[in-house]
This record gives sequence, C-alpha cells and structure tokens, in this order.
Amino acid sequence: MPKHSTRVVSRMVAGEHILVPLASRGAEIDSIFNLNETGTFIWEKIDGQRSGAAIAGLLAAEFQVSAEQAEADCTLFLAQLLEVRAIDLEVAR
Amino acid sequence: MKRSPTGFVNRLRVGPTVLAASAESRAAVAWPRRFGPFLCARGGDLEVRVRREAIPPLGNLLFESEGVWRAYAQPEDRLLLTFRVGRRIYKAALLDPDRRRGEIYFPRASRGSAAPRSALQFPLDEMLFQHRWAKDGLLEIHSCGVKDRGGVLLFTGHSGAGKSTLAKIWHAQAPSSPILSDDRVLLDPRALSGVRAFGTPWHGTGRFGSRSEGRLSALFFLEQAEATEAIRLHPAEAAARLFTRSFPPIWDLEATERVVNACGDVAERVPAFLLRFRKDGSAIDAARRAAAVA
Repeated sequence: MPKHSTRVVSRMVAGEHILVPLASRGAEIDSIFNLNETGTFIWEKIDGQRSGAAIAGLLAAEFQVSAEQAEADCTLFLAQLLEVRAIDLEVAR
Repeated sequence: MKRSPTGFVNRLRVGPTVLAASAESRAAVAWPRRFGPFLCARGGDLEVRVRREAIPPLGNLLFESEGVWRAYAQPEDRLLLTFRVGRRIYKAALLDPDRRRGEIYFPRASRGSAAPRSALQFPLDEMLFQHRWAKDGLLEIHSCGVKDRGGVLLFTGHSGAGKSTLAKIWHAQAPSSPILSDDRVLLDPRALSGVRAFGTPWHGTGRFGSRSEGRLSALFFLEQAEATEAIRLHPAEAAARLFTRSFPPIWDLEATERVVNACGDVAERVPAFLLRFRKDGSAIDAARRAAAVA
C-alpha cells in the first residue's frame, strides 16, 4: 500500500499540489515537484490504506477513462513518486 | 555598538527581527561598515554570545552544504552549524530548539591565520536570521526588490539571472524608486493586509541594500532573453519556483513545512510572472504593465 513519506512536504496551491522532499546535501535542494490535476488527485488518494489498483479505480471513475488507461497512468505516477522518495510502500497484512 | 557588563553588544535589525550579538571584544561582533543603516540600539528577538572556546563535539551530520558550512544534530533539538576555512572548522554556532538563543564558538586564531576577526562574518549572520525566520514562516528570497508606485516588485533568480543588472537599470532609469536589495529580500506573509517586503544588508554585485519596505505587489522570475515579455504563472508554479529561491533548513521537516506554506501563501496572494528580459529599460515597462494589469 502506498503512503506519503515522512520526508516530503506537500502543499496545495490554487488547486495543485507541490511536493518538496527533505534533503541532506546542497545539490538536492532544487528537487521540487509540481503535480497536475491527475497527479494531485492520485496524491490525495494515497493514504496507506488503498492499493494502487484501488486508486486507479477511483481515477478511472473521476476522469472517465478506461480502467487500463487509469491503471497505466497510476502505476507510472506511483513509480515516479517512489523514485523521488515521496511515498513509501507498505506490505498489506 | 554598546558596552555591556560582559563586553560589547551589537544589534542588527532586518525586517521585524533584531539579532543581538555579544562578546568580550568589539571586533568579535563587528559588522561591515555598509551594514550601518541596519544597526539598532534595542531589541533581541535573537541573541547570541561569542565564546573564545573550542568547537564542541559535532554530533550526527544533518546537512552538507557542499560549501563552507555543515549542520549537525545536537541533544534536545539543538542545532550546531560549523564553518570551515579549507578543512579546518574555525567557528560554530550552537542554537536552541527555537533558534532564538545561541552560543558562537570562535577559538582564537593562530598567528598568521586567515580566519576573520568577527565571529559574525557572512554567511553565519544571515543564517542566524534564516533559521529564526523559517520558524516564523518568513521567507528570505534570492531576489532584487524595487519599491515602485506604492508597492514592491520582486525580481527573483539564481546567481547570474540578472538581479543586479536589473537593479542597475532600474536605478539609472527610475532613481526615485528605492531598491531594497539586489540579492536578498525578506517577505512576511503573516499580515492579512498583504505580504510585506523588506530590504536586507546582504547585497549583490550592484551593492544595493536598504531598509526600505513595502507591500509586495508582484513577483517576477527572471530569464535573460532577446526580447522582453512577462508571462503569467499559475500560483503552484510560482510557489515551487519561489521555494527554490528561498533558504530553508531543508533537513528540518517542521521548518520546511512552514517555508513551503509561506511560499504557497505568497503565490496565492501576489500575481507572479516569468519575466524574459532584454538588458535595457524595456523590463521596467513590462514589469510595471504586468503589475498594473494584475
């Protein structure tokens, strides 16, 4: 289950989220991310309880796209968030 | 500078914040002569004492600036900032959890050493303010600020973006518009009446730094170009750009949240533009037009 990392700060600004990972070196300071409407929707659904598939289902319903398209978009976005350490993955018990 | 029972006290006011630094010797708490307009006689939102003692044990490394300073964790949420000349740490500041009180450890230099005489030498003086401001949700921005037509226009950019160039152009073409700074401007978004902008003593190559202040009326992110144009930015884009031009203690979750929120607050309340500009007076006209229309 994806959940927000405790080493990232997020803020909604005029309807869109920005994400700022904490840093431990000067070279990392400019790593900051603007999320578009879809990214903001997915980010807000990440709560440590829903799976990626469940979030993709919500995405498909909200934006009226196919389940396959929503899953592909969601999987790609979660992978990007994982890469920049904005989320952690917890194994469901 | 005032004499005190234990030596000397020197006070620097930047925006709403006063730093009071004390030491046994006058030289240890001296600021450069050009800081004169920012010196004051009273107050102490931040108080530091210079000690001619050895640097304390470092603790766990929190942040490596890849420049002259590092930050280390200390017990009870205190913070140790160290400063190096070459590989040698020549001074360190130990700050309390609120970043309101601190000790500066400044061992006497050996004869012939290149170490400075004042413990407050840049960047420590500025960093003491930055850590306090981050706790209060104030933003110091790498920027040039100009007071113009009743408001402050802020031109932000990294080194080489054209802040000092623009300040010189503005000063030449509109000398009645005070320049707050050509490198560092403080923003205070806490008041309901608007975002306040304050000049600082830390200047760029144009050497502009004044105690002027005013209400922020527009933000511009600088890019030098062949033709001048101002393009409106979405507030989220502006907030992200503003954050990368601020000086947050980015290893500290709580302080970073305050800085990010301050960036968001400023970006939601003040119109922001990408300003592509040619090195002539056209930037002044474009900025004034954009601010007036917004």
